[in-house]
Amino acid sequence: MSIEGISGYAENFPAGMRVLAVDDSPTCLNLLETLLTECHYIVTTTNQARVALEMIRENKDGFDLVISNVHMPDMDGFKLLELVGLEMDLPVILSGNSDPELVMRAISHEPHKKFVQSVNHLGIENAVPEEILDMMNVEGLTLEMVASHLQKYKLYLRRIRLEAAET
Amino acid sequence: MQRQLANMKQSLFDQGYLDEQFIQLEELQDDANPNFVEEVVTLYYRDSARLIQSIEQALEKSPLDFSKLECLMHQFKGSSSSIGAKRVKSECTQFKEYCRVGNSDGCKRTFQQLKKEYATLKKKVEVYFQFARQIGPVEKACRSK
Repeated sequence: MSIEGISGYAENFPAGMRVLAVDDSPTCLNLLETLLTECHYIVTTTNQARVALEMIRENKDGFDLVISNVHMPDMDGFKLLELVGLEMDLPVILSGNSDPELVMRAISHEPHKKFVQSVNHLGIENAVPEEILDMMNVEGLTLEMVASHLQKYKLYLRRIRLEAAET
Repeated sequence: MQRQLANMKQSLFDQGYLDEQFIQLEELQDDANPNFVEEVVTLYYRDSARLIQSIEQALEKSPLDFSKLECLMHQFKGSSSSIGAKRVKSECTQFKEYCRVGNSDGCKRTFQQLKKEYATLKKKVEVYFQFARQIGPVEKACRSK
């Protein structure tokens, strides 16, 4: 977790953004809360995914963003992502692991399905962010998002190919 | 006095006890939050005591439940990493590797090493914070941001 150069970016961070932070580790949750408060966000914390879900359900417009740890004892971050994504239109950031496979699991919603369809249609060799973006035609999606996702997707594909080759 | 404190901190970095994450913590400390770093580290030691106990208990079982051990260690690694505990984190990584390959002796050995590093770091940061407190808020206010 880092706030490197945060003063330089301060103008770009929406002050007053309401964030719900979920992490079962008190150390990490405390640190996250402080970091987010430094960004002038309004932070609510809980160490249980179940409680987070209740909070969101009770107050549908109460939060702008959810940040959750992936590995938690009562419910894993993916489940929370799925439930929050299904029930309400709230962005969820998952933290805790940079494993490409986990990243792929996280992005299993409509946009990802469209992404994969576009890539398959264009052919992985020929798929470039500009064309994928056009084909997907999803509002609010930027070239940077597609480029970054494409990079992770390629890592993921390479990895599963390697694993298949090993067996 | 200020220079002594800086040297103390530098030596912790040079000897590999702490990494840049610790600096990130210090950057979050300000007049509104004057003891932030000490609070976070204290919280870490309190919080991780439980984890260490759980790992200890899990290591006494036979055969070892590597998946549970890896999960516990993952949590411990996460919080150690968030305070910049470099050597502790490295032992955590080693432990997880041994879990992955199912090496019981490796796990047990590494855990002993981890506890040593954990205890050593605790003593060192306690001295550091004590000294920092002695210097007091006046000096801290003069510190440029």
